[in-house]
Amino acid sequence: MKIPIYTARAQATNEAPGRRFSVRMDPTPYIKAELAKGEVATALTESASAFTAQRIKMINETQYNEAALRIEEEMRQAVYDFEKDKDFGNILDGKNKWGQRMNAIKNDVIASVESKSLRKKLGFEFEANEIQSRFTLRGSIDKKIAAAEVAALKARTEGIVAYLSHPDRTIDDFITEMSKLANAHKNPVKDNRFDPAAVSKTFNTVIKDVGANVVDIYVGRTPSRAIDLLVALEQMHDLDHGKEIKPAEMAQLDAGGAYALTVLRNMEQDDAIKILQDAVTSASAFSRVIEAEEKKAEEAQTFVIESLKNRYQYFANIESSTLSAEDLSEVEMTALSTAHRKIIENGGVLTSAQVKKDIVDFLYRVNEVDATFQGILDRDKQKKTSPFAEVSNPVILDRILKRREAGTLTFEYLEDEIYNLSYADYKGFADGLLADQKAAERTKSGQEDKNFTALKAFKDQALKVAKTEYQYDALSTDDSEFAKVSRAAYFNVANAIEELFLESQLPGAEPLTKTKLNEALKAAMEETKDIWHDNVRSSFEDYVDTDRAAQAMQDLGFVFSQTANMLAELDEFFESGTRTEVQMQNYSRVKRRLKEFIRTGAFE
Amino acid sequence: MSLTTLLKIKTLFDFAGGISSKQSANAAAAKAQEAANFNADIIMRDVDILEKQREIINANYELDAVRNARFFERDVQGKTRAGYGYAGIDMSHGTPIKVMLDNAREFDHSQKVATFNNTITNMQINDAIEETKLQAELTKMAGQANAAGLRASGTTSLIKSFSAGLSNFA
Repeated sequence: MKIPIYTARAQATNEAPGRRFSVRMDPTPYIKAELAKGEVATALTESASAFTAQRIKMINETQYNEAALRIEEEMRQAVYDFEKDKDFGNILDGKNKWGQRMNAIKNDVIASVESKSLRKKLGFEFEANEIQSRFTLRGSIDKKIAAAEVAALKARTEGIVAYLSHPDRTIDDFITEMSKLANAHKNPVKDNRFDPAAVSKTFNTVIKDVGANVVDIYVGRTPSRAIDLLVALEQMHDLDHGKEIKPAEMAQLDAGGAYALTVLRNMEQDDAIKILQDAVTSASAFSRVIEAEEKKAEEAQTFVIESLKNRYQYFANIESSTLSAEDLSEVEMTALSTAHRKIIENGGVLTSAQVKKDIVDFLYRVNEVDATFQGILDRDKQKKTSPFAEVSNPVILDRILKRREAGTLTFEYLEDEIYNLSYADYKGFADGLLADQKAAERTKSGQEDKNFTALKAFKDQALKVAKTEYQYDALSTDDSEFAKVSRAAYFNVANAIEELFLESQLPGAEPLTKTKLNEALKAAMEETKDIWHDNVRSSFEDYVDTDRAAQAMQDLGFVFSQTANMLAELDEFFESGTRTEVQMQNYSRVKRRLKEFIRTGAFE
Repeated sequence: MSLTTLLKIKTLFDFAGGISSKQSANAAAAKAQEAANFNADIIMRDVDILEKQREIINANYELDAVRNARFFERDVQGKTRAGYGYAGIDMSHGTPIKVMLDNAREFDHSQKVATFNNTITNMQINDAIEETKLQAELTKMAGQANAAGLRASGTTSLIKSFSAGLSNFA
């Protein structure tokens, strides 16, 4: 028997009594968390810093832009100022005004900027701008220097032309001055600043100008001198080419001719001949003008003499009257003695006799008393003085007015009626006659220019205005009071116009214009207005008292109110009842006359 | 507000930003170090496990050696003697002794192999422990490096902010 034996088959494990932990801590989230915590604060400060930086940038940019703009403006202004500165020697050179100003601008502008880096940047920009501006200015200054040099030489050239153009200059003066001018241009030509061709042209111009001036002075108003110079010039040309000329055949020049000839010889022959031709033309024109002036002076003298002779009789007729400056024309003033002229000029008065004596003395003095005028003087000595009437005789005045209008009034007729006329009326008619006489003379001599014709037409126009105003009809035979008043008013204005017209024709008188004529017309009408209206009203009263038709209307009960409404009142009155044919005729007559009276304006 | 005042304010903000970055970087570095240390501690726990495994292996080895010897003597040699004896074979001369000697030699060889294997296993455990320690050390070092990098980044930010702040007055 086999006894079972138990043998343990269990095996002890060699396994490790635990497991290795593969778990590991990842630090990343913790690190990120800590960093994230810091990022919040960092982001905050960075944002604040960025905001501040933005503000700083804005301020910096603003300051920079302002400063840059100011630099540009100040620099532009400086360039502008220095371009106008005449002291260009001290701008970029000498005192270096530019540098001083630039330093001032730089210090001033850059100091206004707070940021150091910006200042540095502006400094660079300033330098860049300064260089550019300086070169611009340099260009302008160079141009000015060149222009100044040209101007200086031009002035010098003009001075030399003026100096050499004097007739007292000599040939040596000419050579010396031209040499100086050549020396003055030498360096600029050498340095290529001036064009040699232009300088040569300038020299020719100088000689031509001097030649023209010298020849003009030498020839003056004697064309033969220019001819002599031309001959002399040709002879010199011939001599230069070997031709022999005998001394007796040489052109004879007056003093100053040799110098003029020298100048002419130093220029192109064509130019010299042209100058001589111009001198001949000019001298001939001078001669013609002088002749015309002499003729004109002679005519003026004749006019004065004739005027004085004509006015003699006038002064003889008003010998006892006193005369002031207003009563004397320019011609008459010319004839006055020195003492008498002083009296008049100082506002004093002279008698007509004194003026008459001065006229006679003047005519004797200028030897213009011929046999005819001597006869007048002799007759006048024997004749008694004829005093004017205090007031013109209305009958005679009316007669004279009619003659004047008809053109049949003469000095003789006026002289015959001198006792019946006042001084003012006499003067008015005499002036009118004289004006007509002068106008006729001018027309006859062909001196009547367009202006005079126009003035004459305007004067006639003014007279027409006066005629219309005063309802004056020259051809009317109406002798009523109204017609007389109308005629007198018209001639009062017409005489004023004629007087002004006559005075304007005297030598030395101010020229007459349409404006003056118009003013005179208005002044005369204004002066006549009151008298005219008084006379119209007086005439109206006379009409109302004497006219049959007016009487008949008054008998019917109509009252002339002497107002501007009289016409309407008449119409109303007449239409208020049944009228006969005779009454109708009277009504028409009265109405027509009333229209004439009212139209004068006397009842306004 | 003037430009100078604004510049001062910006500088203050720049400084504050840098300091804040530095502080957060330092905190992050501390966290990195802390994590590395934690991981190293976990790894070091493996060393204990290995030590315990060694003890177990060695104990098993001792136990097996004794138990194998007793088993060999009692079961193998005893049964051999009993067989020979039961057959009436003189076990003092000839083949029975030789068989028992051969058995004893085989047993010795097995014991020596077991000892050798145990020695090798111990050596392997030693290496494993060493490796684990190194692993833990490396983890710590990586944590230090990570922390140092974070601190350096904070310092860089700080320096940059100071530089930016000061550059405002340049």
